[in-house]
Amino acid sequence: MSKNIFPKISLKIFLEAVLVLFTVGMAFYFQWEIANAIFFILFVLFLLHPISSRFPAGGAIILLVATAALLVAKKEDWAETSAIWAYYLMIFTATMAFFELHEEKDGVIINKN
Amino acid sequence: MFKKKKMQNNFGKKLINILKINKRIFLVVAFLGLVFVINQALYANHKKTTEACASGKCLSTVAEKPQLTKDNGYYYVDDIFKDQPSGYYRVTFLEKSDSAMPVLMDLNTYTEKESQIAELNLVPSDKFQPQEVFFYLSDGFDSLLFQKKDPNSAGNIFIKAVGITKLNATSQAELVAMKKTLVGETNLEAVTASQTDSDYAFPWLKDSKTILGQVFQAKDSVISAVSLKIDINKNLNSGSRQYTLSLRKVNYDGESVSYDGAVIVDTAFSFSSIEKYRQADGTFLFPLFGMLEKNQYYLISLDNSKVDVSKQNYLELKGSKEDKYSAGIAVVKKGKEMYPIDGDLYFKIYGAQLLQEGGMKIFNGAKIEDLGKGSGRYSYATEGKFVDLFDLSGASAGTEFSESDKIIYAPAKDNASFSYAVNMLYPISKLNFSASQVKAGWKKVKVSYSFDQNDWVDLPFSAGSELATTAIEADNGESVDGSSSDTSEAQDSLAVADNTVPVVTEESVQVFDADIVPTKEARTVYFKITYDPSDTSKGKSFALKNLKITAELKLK
Repeated sequence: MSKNIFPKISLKIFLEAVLVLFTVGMAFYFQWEIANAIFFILFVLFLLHPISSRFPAGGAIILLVATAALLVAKKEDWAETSAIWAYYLMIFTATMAFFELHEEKDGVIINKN
Repeated sequence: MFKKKKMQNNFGKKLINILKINKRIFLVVAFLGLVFVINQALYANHKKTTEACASGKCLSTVAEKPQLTKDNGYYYVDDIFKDQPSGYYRVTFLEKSDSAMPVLMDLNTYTEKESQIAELNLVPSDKFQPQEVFFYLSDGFDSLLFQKKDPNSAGNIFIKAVGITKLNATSQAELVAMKKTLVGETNLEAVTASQTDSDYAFPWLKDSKTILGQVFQAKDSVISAVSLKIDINKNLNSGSRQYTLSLRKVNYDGESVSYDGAVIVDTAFSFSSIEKYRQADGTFLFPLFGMLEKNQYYLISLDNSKVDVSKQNYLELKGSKEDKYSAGIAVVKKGKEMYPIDGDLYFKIYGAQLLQEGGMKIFNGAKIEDLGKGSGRYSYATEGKFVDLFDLSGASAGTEFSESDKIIYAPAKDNASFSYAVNMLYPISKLNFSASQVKAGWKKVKVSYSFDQNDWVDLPFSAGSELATTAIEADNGESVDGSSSDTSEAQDSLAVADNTVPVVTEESVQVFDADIVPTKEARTVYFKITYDPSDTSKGKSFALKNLKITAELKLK
């Protein structure tokens, strides 16, 4: 009876859900700031389901430009935050690019368009 | 039972199968494990309380080493008499001993020829004591030797500021009649307001963008430092952003507090740099120089607005949960709103008391000596230490001491100036003022003197040169003058980028070296130092370095 209440989910999805929950739990456990926690959770999600490296790369470029603009506007604190976020996105880009290269070698080309 | 085991085997096989196909899950597990282990070490909270740091356990500064110890019973002041003519001399110095001990003073040469000039019986003291010894210097000696009478005794003796003065005396009898040398010493340890209960930790600075402070009533016209008890909560990733400790005048009516004036003085520190203010008893002593109005109310406050506060990285100011200080209250400011809170912070406000002689203040380290035959000598030089600030008789807002350049400086704006009232106790025959502009890139300085504070005369200066380190970019040869900036943040003029090479160049600076002869009897001379408003350079501050004032005095 009870088996029918829960939708049948595959073991893979179940494992991924556990990992994401564990990631969220870690963010709470270590009391990370909200922005850092979001970047960390996104990173884990993108490790499980890669996206095209172009998207984080674009975000990183925008944030780097914003950093320069904020420095000119003498908003050093914001500039520092923006630079840190740009750095996070560059890590995303490098990781996604690595996956793309790896999958190309395996004969699979990711096309997330 | 068998069925259950079979199901478990099926699940295990399925899991291994999925992991084989989905290598990314493996990757994520490994990544999360790594992050967890690193963070467990990095983000563990390390609490450092004032109590745990008592008895000097957390001191980061290296203690001053004694000159005479159990292992080293000899201290030479080399070449102090080199090229000095024979005659009667006075040697002055400061000593501090941790036990009662006889010390011998000898004239000495490199050939180890010795001639004893005095035996001093030192008394134990926490403070440096001035000493002076008269002696006749015969030919053939060049050094001064301090030695323990009993070389095996265990006491530690500190000796500093050894100086000699040639006297006009021609006989031993004249030495007996000599007036005792007066050496100015500024006491920075006098507490002018305090609240010392500290059984409660104020939690307010756990929240970001918060100011926590204490209102106090000034009992002195100057503040030299504030002592606070702070518990530090930090993990290994506490960051480098800075807390701001500031002092400002407030309107306080016994209940509510408000301020509209600017900050009188502030200082900033991060989680790592705060330790340089740690004292042996575990408290923190922050040097702050500011002119106060007696009986007015001031707020000393700590602002965490620029710091990334988290539940593991925050400061707790200690104090009492009950109101123990009657002349002020503790306050919290969040956003634009400031409100009083129960209790009072632990705090000690320190003033500065210059040595007073005949109702006149004597500068720290200034020396008034009897040379014999009715003449005397006044000498004062800035020490390049924070205590120099308290020799100022007046200073405009923003006047501060630069630890990196070891000078007093002020922002070159409006009517900014700082001044000295130099009391010499005896009528002045002639005096000399010497100093130089701190750096070529700084605003030019104008120095005026007066004997009555009405008629001011500008001191002349000459153009001197000094060596300055300039950074030249190695790849294109374009020069970047590292010494031109005069903000306190950019005072490290020797810091050059990796792709530059330092080049030493000569720069023109103002040099003041003027003799002044008073036209009528004067015992006090006033100096006013300001910037030259006609200087259109981009310098933002002005300052003098190597300031020295000497005078010939009439003692009879």
